[in-house]
Amino acid sequence: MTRLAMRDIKAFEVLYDRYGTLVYSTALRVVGDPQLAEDIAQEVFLRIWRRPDHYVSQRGRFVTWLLSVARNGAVDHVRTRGRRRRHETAGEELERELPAREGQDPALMAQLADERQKVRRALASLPLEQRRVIEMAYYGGYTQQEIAAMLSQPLGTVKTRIRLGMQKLRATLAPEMGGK
Amino acid sequence: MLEAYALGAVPPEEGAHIEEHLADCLACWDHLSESQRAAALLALAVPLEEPRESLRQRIIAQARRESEPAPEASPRPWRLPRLLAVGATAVVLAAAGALSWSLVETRNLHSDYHDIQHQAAANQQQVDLTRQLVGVLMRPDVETQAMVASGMAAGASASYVWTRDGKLGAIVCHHDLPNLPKGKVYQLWLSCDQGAMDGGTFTASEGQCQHLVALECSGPAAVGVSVEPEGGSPSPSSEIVLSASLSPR
Repeated sequence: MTRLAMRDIKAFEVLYDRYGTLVYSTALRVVGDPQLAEDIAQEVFLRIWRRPDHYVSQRGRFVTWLLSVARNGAVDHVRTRGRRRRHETAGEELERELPAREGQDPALMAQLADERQKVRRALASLPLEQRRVIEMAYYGGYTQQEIAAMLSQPLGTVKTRIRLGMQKLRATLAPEMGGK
Repeated sequence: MLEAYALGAVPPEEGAHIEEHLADCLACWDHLSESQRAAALLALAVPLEEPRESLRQRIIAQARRESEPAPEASPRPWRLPRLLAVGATAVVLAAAGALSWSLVETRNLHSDYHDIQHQAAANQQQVDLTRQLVGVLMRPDVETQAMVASGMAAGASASYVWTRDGKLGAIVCHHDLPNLPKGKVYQLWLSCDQGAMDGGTFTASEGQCQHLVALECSGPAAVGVSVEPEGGSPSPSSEIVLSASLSPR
């Protein structure tokens, strides 16, 4: 990040090569439109280029911060434009891994791939009804009230599913969550 | 409820109630923090889709355009005359020692201080200004940060000290900063709210360096040092060999 703050374009290229696919995929998962997902990814990376200091390391790991920015940006888009992606649960799609690019740190990419697998497994281990509401909230940007209406379930049921599901994810993913 | 809040799944008015409650509940903060970290990991689980290569080209090209200096560049920050800079920085070193700055080698500090004190005494104006600067650097809002050395400076030890208002800063290299060939200098860069700023040039002597910079750099976020042609460059033209993030503690 320091090299970015010094306007080091090579550092920016490395950053894009490392996280571009993840950022784009996160945006695409939310908006479901490749063109819009590209626009969001562009916004995210240029925002970092303009203000790398917006990331404060005390807030947590860079990759999760970066993907949260991408997810939140994408959710803002779907909320303001009223564009919604189908809220199917993931899992059936072909498992792909991050593309290898020249100059990347193999250890870092291996760690990312390992973490991706763990998070996917943690999600897959949830009861389907808990997983569905969590995915609708996180990837769809829906509120609990909207989810309850869409699933024709009482609000209390949706709240309970989110709470129980997140508690399980927290317990399962504790080693990945790192320090405070 | 905090789990839903961490997922961004509560409407704004409900979110406002939760935030009010959080203000008085430390345990809730911890709980929310854990839920937020778990939620943040969810993006790692998305199915991967490769963006088009044109996206990379577009983003990098735009970043390049934005990093080009504007035609009407802001005036180069005021730099202390070299002699004064050396004198002032030595006293900065002493000030830093007074602040129990463990990274600074006390022996070198004393030596430098006495050498430069003699030099500074020859010019009362220098001494006055030096004292003024030290007075600022002795303020409680002074921060220090060890710098990361890489590339041709790998193995060097250096620190950056700055005032939180961003008006004064100094880089101090403790040891192993390589001497540069003729025609080359080190150049300091600062990332400020106003954008990237030139912090002036300096050289190494016996592995050490002291360079003081006085400029208006609000919200300094990072500093870096590159190797540039004598006289300095408008923007870094080589890799950053010393760097530090300046998050206030």
